[in-house]
Amino acid sequence: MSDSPLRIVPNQPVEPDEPENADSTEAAVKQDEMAELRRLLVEQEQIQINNILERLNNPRVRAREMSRLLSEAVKLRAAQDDSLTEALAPTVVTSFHSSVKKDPRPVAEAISPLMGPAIRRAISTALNAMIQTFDQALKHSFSRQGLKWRVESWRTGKSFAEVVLLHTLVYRVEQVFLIHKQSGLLLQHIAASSVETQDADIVSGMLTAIQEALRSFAYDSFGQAQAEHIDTLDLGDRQVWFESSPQAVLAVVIRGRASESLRDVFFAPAIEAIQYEQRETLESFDGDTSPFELSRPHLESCLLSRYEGQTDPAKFKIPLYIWLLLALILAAIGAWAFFAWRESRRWDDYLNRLRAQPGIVITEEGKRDGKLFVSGLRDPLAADPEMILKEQTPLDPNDVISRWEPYQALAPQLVLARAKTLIGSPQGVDLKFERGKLSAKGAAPHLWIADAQRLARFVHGVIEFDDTNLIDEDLKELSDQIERQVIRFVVGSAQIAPGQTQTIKILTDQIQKLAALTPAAGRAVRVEIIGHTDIEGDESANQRLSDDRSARILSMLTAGGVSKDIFLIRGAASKEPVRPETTPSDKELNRSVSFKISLLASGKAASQQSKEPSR
Amino acid sequence: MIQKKICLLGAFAVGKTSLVSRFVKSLYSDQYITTVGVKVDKKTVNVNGQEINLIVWDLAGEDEFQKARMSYLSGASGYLLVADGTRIDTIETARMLRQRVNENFGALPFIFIINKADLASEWEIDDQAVAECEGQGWTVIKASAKTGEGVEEAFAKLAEKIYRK
Repeated sequence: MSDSPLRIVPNQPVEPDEPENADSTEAAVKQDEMAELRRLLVEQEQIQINNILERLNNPRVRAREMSRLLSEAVKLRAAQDDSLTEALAPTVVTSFHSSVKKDPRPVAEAISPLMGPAIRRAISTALNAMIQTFDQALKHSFSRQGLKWRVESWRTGKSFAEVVLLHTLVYRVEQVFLIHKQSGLLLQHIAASSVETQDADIVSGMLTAIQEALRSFAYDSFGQAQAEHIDTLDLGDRQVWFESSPQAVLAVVIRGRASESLRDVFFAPAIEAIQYEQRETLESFDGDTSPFELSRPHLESCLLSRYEGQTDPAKFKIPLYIWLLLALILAAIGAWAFFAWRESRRWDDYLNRLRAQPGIVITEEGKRDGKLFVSGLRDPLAADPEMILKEQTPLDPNDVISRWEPYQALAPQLVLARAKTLIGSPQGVDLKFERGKLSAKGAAPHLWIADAQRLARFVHGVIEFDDTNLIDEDLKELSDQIERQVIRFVVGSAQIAPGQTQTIKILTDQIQKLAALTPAAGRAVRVEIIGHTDIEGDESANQRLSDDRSARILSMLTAGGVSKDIFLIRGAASKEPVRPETTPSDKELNRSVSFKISLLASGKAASQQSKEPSR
Repeated sequence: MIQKKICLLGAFAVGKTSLVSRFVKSLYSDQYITTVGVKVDKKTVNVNGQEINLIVWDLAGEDEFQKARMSYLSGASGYLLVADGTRIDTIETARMLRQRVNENFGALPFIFIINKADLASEWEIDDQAVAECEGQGWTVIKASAKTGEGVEEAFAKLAEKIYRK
């Protein structure tokens, strides 16, 4: 067919060219007339033809029309024969390939609902078969009979499996022949693996001939007109079963004794299916056997076998000991999982204990070479991880590898511990550390206090040392000694009673010593000189007397070389008796001067000193 | 593979079996011919580059006690008709057998073999008889089971005839 659009002579009268001579003018007139005549006669048809041509030449119109007919046309053609399928097959295959090449996902998604169940079924079948084989092998390997068969296998040179199969064989289809009924020619033949076969073409012919002979024999001998076909040839340990269709015969060679039901369940359906599927090929058979390759699956479905102890694959049950084995494996996995879980929990517990310890920082932990591994930083004063491991966890220390780098932690406990190591912690002193401040409380020797004040600055983490609540034992002792001293006076006078020169001297030394010690301890000392009288006499006179007595002692002490600045003097008259007056000796004791020592923080002392001494 | 069934027919003791036994693949002993009435063999020939398996059915010989069983010819594509050159009556038997084949199965391709060509001096079948057969359109081949003469040719010719049909 030509691709060029069809053309038709235009409807309108043709404009005549410029007449060159009379002939051409006449011809033009004739042509005009013809055209006019044509217009009058076929104008309607002309329009219809133009319409049709328009439809034929316009690809869009044609496409629209074809789309209306296409599905119907495909249905009709497919009903007639296979040519449409054959024509489309290469295109479909190519499209499929190209689609998969471009992007396999859509195809995979489309077929996955089919693949899943198919794969599952295949796997379960294979698994069942495997378990069955395993079961058989176990049964036969360890029984007495199994040993006997082993000997036989060794003796005959056959494989053990072969011997087992031979002894446990119930039946086995060894060969299947598909034979052309009329000629006895072999159409297709299959044999079970490891079955020795003779030339199947010849055997097929002979099987047909023998059947024929037996049929004749039956007819001749018993007048058995109905001897249409022979079902079975019994040949000792083998049988040949025949199943026939109008044009073909299925000859099945069976070793052993098979159940008659196989005939109805497998063989008859196989030959019926072949007859149905290949009826035309069978009818027109002229020696070419290649089309019968298609019947192979049907023949293969007839290659059945059954062994002793083997149950129908569909009814096969997994034996108890395999369940036990599975249970054992599960139990082992469970136990392993439990121990692994327990160890991991213990390990976590240990790590948490370490993390809770001040001065221990875990930087890495895990498993290495099958052992538990932990590494990090540890203050030498922090708790010992080995001890925690040994005493607080059930883990085996041999299973744990630890690696610790030393460092100084700033955790308060550790700063305190470090301070105690450096400056020591004598009995009676309570050290505390809080927010950078190290505080000492209690009483300590003067020397220790001096050391502590110096060394506290070198303890990593200590910013300030607070010893305001710390009592200097040496200073206190000295103060107590001074406060115990009482200087007695003559009755009614500011004159010291005789025999006290030595006491004054000792007192002067003691006060001097105290004044010398206190600055080193960061303290200032205040010595109060209190004058007393007995209750005799009038109040104002007593006041004056007590004032004079304290002033007298002040002058004596300063005369001995003690700085005036540390003293306060006060007259208490009879209001603060050294001892309650009941006896004359009490009176004598109250005619005196006593001392009161205050140890002040140095700043406080300085501020007070500016005003003193005064009355 | 193309398979063709052919039959060997002839009077008793014309040497059918020995004729082919050297040239075919045999699975069974000759005893089958007397017990079952037939023995099946195979011979592969090449016709115009095409391999053909000839399944040869060697039928029991025809004599006054035993008749060749025509049912064995069912589905055959052709046959070899055998006579004994030293026994003139075997030509008659051959004619009669051909007649029976025609009656049962219509005209099938066949080759007429006159056996025992090695015993030419004892022949009862003369050239005139041979010419007579050829005159009827028969393909006649003189052969010898003993020397092998003509046997291969007979099979090849029959295969060709079947193939050409």
